[in-house]
Amino acid sequence: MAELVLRSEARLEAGPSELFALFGSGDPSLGWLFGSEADALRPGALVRLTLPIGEGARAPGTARVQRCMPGRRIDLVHETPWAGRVVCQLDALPDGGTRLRIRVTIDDRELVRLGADFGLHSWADVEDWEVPLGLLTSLSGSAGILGRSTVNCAQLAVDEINADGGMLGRDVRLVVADDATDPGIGVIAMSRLCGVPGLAAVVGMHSSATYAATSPMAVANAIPYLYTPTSEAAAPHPLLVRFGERPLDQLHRALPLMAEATGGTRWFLTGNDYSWPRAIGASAREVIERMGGTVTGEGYVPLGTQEFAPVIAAIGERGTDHIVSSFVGQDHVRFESEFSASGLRGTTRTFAPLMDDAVVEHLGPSGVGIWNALGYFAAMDTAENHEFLRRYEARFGRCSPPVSAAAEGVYEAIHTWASACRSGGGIEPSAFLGGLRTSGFRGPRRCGRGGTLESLLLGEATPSGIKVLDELPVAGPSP
Amino acid sequence: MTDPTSDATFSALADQTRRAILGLIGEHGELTVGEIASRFDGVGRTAVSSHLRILRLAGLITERRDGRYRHYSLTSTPADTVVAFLASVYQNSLDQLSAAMTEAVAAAGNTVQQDDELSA
Repeated sequence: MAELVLRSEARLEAGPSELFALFGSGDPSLGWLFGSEADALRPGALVRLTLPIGEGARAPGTARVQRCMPGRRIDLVHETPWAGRVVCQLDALPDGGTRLRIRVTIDDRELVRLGADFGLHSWADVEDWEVPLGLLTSLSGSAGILGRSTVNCAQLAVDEINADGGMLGRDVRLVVADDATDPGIGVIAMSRLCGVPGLAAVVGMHSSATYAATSPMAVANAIPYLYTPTSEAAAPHPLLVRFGERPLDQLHRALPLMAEATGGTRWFLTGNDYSWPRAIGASAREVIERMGGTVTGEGYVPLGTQEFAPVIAAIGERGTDHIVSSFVGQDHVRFESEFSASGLRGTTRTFAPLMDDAVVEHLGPSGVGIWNALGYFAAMDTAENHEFLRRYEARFGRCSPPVSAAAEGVYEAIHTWASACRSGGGIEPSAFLGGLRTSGFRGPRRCGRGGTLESLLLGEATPSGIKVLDELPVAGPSP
Repeated sequence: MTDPTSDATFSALADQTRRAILGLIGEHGELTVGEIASRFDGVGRTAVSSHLRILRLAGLITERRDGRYRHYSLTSTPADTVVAFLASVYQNSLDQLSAAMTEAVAAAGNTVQQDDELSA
């Protein structure tokens, strides 16, 4: 595959060791690359970036340390908002300064994706012998920091399907579109996906706000839409197929266990201010009141906010035992870290319905103790999961983003799509929908026919990742 | 890599609304301000016009006048535009680091000078 190589160079008035020590310090005045936040410079460590996006605005991104030679060289894998490799080479100059050279490598497929995201062209490079399969997800905006493992898991599923003979003899081609965690951008991205000739289906791993805007477009274009995240969203048409966890199931199973563990009765509901967190709040209130608990307060803040202090103060003032925290992506990371710094973590317990392995990596120590119930955690101790994680590592290397429930759900949905198409005898919507009723996919998750989730895992964040506390059956169809 | 063209490209592409406008124009070949504004919720005609001006100055779109109407279409070679954007994002980071180091050296110089003055 062809690659683009960009080279940049600067002569700096500081020695190589001094510069090396500054990398990852989180000081924005050092530029977004050296001023990134990195807890450690060991292979596999996460690097949080804040990219300038013009006119003073900033956007979150992620990279990962691949290799590191103290004082001489740092190799990074850039993950979001785009994928690439960055090598920073530091050479001492006779005057005591440093020649810093950076080499950025980005492959052609990613350039095509970026060009399409920038609105410069459609996905004209899909060959007519390929079966295009769309993935609409967030690689930028608040949820973007979690996006790379989703794309990886989708690619892994597609590679496995192709290695297994493809889709009725044709290779499946993954076409990735970024909704930028914004329904307005999602609509544009979806409309361009729908314009890809012969698009077989769209797999959606994005907010329910984007789903509300884009799902009618799938129906209008007669394209199956497989929506995978944990969501309360309705699927009012046969072409709209939901896979993820139901919030009411998550809350029903987990909140009583949490109250039992703490002996407390007071709950505070918080999250970003849009349909999904408010629906979580409404469901949580129902579950809490049914078990005799009290909701002491609710506080919702806009997506992309920096202002968590009023909500945290309200939690502190009203006296509470438990928090239900429905924040998304970057906001989730910021809220939990400020909450933890406030000292309230020690006297409360948090349930966060979006906390998965990728979120926990970003939270670090500030997330320890948070609970969630999802269909998948990487610590799931089954033969299918060990095999899945082995294949993920073999494909993307040890220095790759952790597999999360969100990402693994996409992997399962794509395999379920393929197995339904095979069973139905074609990639047309009617064949897929017919096949979906009778077929299934045996992956890490406990799923029945058509990808229906049969059990949830109860997990707790620990300093070394999420620990599985229990397995909770999902009894029958959710209310 | 710091030529003004790539800076203009960077500023133009950095905004999500402008990207979405490019996407719309690319999809339809040619659109007027009114046609673009009618496809966006919450983005007025004036705002669309100002986005179009930035895109035009960055050389990403071109304008064709037809009586009262102005029609906009894409001009750029997509690959060149993406490359210019990425190049300026990375160069921007090095430029900022370089400025910070120079400033740190200057600040250290000042401190030394002040110390000299104090001891003098």
